Amino acid sequence: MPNVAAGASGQRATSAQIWRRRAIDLASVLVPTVLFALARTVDSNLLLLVSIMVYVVLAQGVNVIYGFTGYLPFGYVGFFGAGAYGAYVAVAHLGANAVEATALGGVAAVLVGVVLIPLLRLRGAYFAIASLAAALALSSIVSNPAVTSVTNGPYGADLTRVFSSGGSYWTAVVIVALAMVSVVALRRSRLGLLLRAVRADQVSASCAGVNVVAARTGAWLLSALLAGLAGAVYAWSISVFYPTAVFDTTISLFAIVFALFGGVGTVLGPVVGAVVLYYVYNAIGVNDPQYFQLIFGVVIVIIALFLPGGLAALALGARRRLGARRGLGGAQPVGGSDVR
Amino acid sequence: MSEPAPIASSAASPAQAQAPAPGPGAAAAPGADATPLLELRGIAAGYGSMQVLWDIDLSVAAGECVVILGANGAGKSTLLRVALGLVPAMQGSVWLRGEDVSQLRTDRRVARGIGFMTEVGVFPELSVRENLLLGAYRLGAKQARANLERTYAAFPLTAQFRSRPAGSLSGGQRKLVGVAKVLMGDPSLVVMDEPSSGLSPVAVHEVVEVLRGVEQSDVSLLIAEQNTAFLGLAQRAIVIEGGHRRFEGTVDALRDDAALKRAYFGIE
Repeated sequence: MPNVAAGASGQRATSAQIWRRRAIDLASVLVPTVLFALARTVDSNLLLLVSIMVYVVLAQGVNVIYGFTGYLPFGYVGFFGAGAYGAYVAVAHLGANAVEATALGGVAAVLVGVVLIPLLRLRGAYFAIASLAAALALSSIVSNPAVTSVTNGPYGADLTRVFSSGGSYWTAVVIVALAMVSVVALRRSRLGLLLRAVRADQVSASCAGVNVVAARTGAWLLSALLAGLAGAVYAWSISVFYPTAVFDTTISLFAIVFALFGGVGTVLGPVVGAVVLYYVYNAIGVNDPQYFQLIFGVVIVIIALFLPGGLAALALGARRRLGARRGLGGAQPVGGSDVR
Repeated sequence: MSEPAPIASSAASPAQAQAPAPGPGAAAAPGADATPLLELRGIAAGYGSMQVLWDIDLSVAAGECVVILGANGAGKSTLLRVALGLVPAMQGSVWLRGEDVSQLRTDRRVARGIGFMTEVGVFPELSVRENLLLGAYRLGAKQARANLERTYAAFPLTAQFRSRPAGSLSGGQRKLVGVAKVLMGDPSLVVMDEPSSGLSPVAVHEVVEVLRGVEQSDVSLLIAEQNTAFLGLAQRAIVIEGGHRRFEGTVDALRDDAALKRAYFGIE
């Protein structure tokens, strides 16, 4: 190491800064979790609340795979459906209780993720299309009459035996907490830094000694786990479902747009995006789907043209302007900052 | 690609006759280990069906600085990429401290002590601090933190701008952060691809001076460059033209070669 100059002591983060960072991390996990836990006191429609939480988890899953590695998974619904059917198989054939079935739904999605690891060799549109094709293929397999003895084929899955609106609600709250912890850990961990490096430039990342394949695979499987858990708890909450319901490509599209609207690569962005847009969907889309599709299309165009960083970018811009007004210079950190 | 006529050959150089350049497998710098740190043997490489390198030999001894000189498109970067495992060799092999690493992935070669600074040098979207931590990724979190403090002290620029995105720095500052990032990994050999790229003469001078400090700390350097300013650091140079090695020898021998002087120094 050349002795270019001495000095620069006292550059370590102070303990106050470290504690502040930890407090922010803790709040990022606890605030959404507690708000969802308390939401039933405000809104008694538990199915709606579970659906919102499911989309929060899905948006965070997209955040993990797209926000941290740059892979845009149009076939993300494949993991969701695998989770739903994993839970059904666990209950119907293994005699699992609902909580065990939810966990096994996550495992099923991870197994599908393992099978689909070769897709990570592709990039950009090729990966997006291939993942979509994989999801459609999985849907066809699950709904095939030949596997009726396992998945009940096209005749739908019945989980009414374990139905519990309260149980699925609280399990969804736990899964939201798990998703938040995952993303916070990714933001702070060396793995998260590594994934962002891979996303920025995978050649340079490998030159820094990073096992690019392992890093991408880790993010892929974590993302699959989150979608699988979301699919399983969704299946539990609705009890009766058909392959077309849990392998609907709209689910992928919603999750991606919710994540992008809030801001990928951030912790809270996908949560805000999912809550805001799903409420809009619930208010308009159910009764007047054509208007919602119009709004949805406009949102996608606005994101693409003016807000590639999502709502989080707006918040960051506002914070910068506030900093500049306070005389802090305005040019505050982006890359390693506490942009939530 | 057709084979151009040679500009110079090491055998034809009088200066080299006096001070023969070490070939692959030969001892190089005085006092250095007999086994070269890095050795490329008979490398042929290219992209798809397009071959861009033919039968290139190269070695770097411990503590030595070697500059690969050549024009744009000569194959310098490809040669470095072959050494790092980013481009597979069509023929030939890559050796690190006597171990054949030709089949190893890039990250495994880096783990054996090679640090590579790409032409960009940094991850522009990441902060300076994050760039530095990535440089020490293979060492583990504890060692990375220790090296970070050392780097902040050695490169005050990195401490000053540690929270800034590396992409927001000037070209010269980015290169210095890139050097600091590579050194974070405690490499035995630093491989650099065009460190002068996009820099003003003043910034080039600054980078050269920093590398002089690196060289004095017994880290070997392998630098691919068009800019002859980096020859001041080197004990040896090789010249690549059209994918062929046209010269290998001491820097003095290179400077004494009339054809190369015309080609690379603009001196008649």
